[in-house]
Amino acid sequence: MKNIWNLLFLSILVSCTASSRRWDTSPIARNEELYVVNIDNAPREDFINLSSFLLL
Amino acid sequence: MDSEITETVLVFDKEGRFLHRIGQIGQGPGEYIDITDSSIDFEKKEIYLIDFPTNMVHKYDIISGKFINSIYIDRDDFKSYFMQYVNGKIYTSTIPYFGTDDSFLLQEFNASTGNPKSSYLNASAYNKGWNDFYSRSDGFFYPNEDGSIKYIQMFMDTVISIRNDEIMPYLAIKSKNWITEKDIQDLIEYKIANEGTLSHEILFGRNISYNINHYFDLDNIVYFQYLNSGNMEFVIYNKENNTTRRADFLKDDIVYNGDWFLLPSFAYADSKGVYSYLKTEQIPRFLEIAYSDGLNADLDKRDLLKGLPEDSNPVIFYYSNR
Repeated sequence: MKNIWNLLFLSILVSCTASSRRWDTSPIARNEELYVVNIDNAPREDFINLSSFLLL
Repeated sequence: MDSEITETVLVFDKEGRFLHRIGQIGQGPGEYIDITDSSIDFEKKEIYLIDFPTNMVHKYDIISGKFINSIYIDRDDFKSYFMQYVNGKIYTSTIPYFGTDDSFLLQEFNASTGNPKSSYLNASAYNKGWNDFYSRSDGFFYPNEDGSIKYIQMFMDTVISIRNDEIMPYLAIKSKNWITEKDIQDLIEYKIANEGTLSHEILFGRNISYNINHYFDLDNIVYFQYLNSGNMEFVIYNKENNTTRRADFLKDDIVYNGDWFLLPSFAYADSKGVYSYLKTEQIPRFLEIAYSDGLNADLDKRDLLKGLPEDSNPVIFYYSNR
C-alpha cells in the first residue's frame, strides 16, 4: 500500500515538474528610450479636433 | 472579420468589392466555430485566425482564400481570445482557468508547430494583479504595418512592444490616479462574493484611470483613449517634442463639418495613416448626419456614402497622415 502511495506521489511530482517546465518564463528587455506620458500634467482641452494632429 | 452576420472573415478590395471568404463555420479542415481574433503576415500575405472553442489557429492565403494549415495551441490551464503573429511566432493574450498571482499575461508559441515557447508579463507586476477575464471590443493587441505589435491589457500602465525577437516596454503612463493593486483586490473580492459575477460599477464610482484602448502609433504621434473616473478621455502624445494633449471629446472634423459627428473607432495604423470603422448599427445615424449636409465637401466618395442603405455593410474610413 505504501508503495502505491509513493508511486502516486512521484507521478504527481513528475507531472507538476513537467507542467511548469513547459511554460518557461522569460523576462522582457529593458528599453532605454521608453516614452513617458504624464497625463496629469497635460492641460485639459474642451475637445480635440482630429485634423489638429492628423496631417491631411 | 464579421462577428455579427456571417460570422466569417470576408476579403474586399480597396474599392470595397467583395472578393471571397476566409474559411467558414464548421468542424472540417480550415473551418471554425467562433473566431475571436485575426492577424496578418504581410510578408507572406497570409492570415491567421484563432478559433476560441477549439484552441486552434488556422492559416490561410489572403489572396486566394485557400486554407494552408492549422496548429493546436496547447494550453492546459489557459484560454485565449486574442492572438497575433510576429516573425514566426504566435502570441496569445491568456487568462488562466484558475487565477493565480504568478500567472502570465502573454504566451508565445511556435507558429509552425504550436509548441509553447515562453511566457511573458507577470500579472502581478504588469496588470496590477488582475489575471481574469475582462475583455473589450478592440482586443489587447494593436498591430502595425512594420510587423510590430503593441500589447495593452485592461489595467496596464505600460504599453508593450513586440517586434521580431524583442519584447520591451514602449510607452509608460504616469498618473497619480492610475488604478492600484488595492482597487483590483476589491474587484476580485466582489467577484468572489457574487459567485463569479463581475461588476464594472465597482470601478466606475472611483476616481481612477485604466483601460488604454483604441491605441495607434504613427510616425510622430501616439493616440489612445482611456477611462478616467468612468469617462472616456482622449490623449495625443507627440513623440518628437514630448508634449501631451488630452480632452473629454474627440471631434472628427475630417469626415464631418458641423456639430453632429460620430466618434471614429480606430482599428489599425499603417505608415501613412489610420483606419477606422463604422458599424452597421451606426449607419442610420451616419445617414441622418449626411442628409443634413453634415459631411465635409471634400470627403472622398461623399455621394456614394450618402446613398448607402440603412442596413449597409460596415464602412471603413482611411485617414491619411501625409
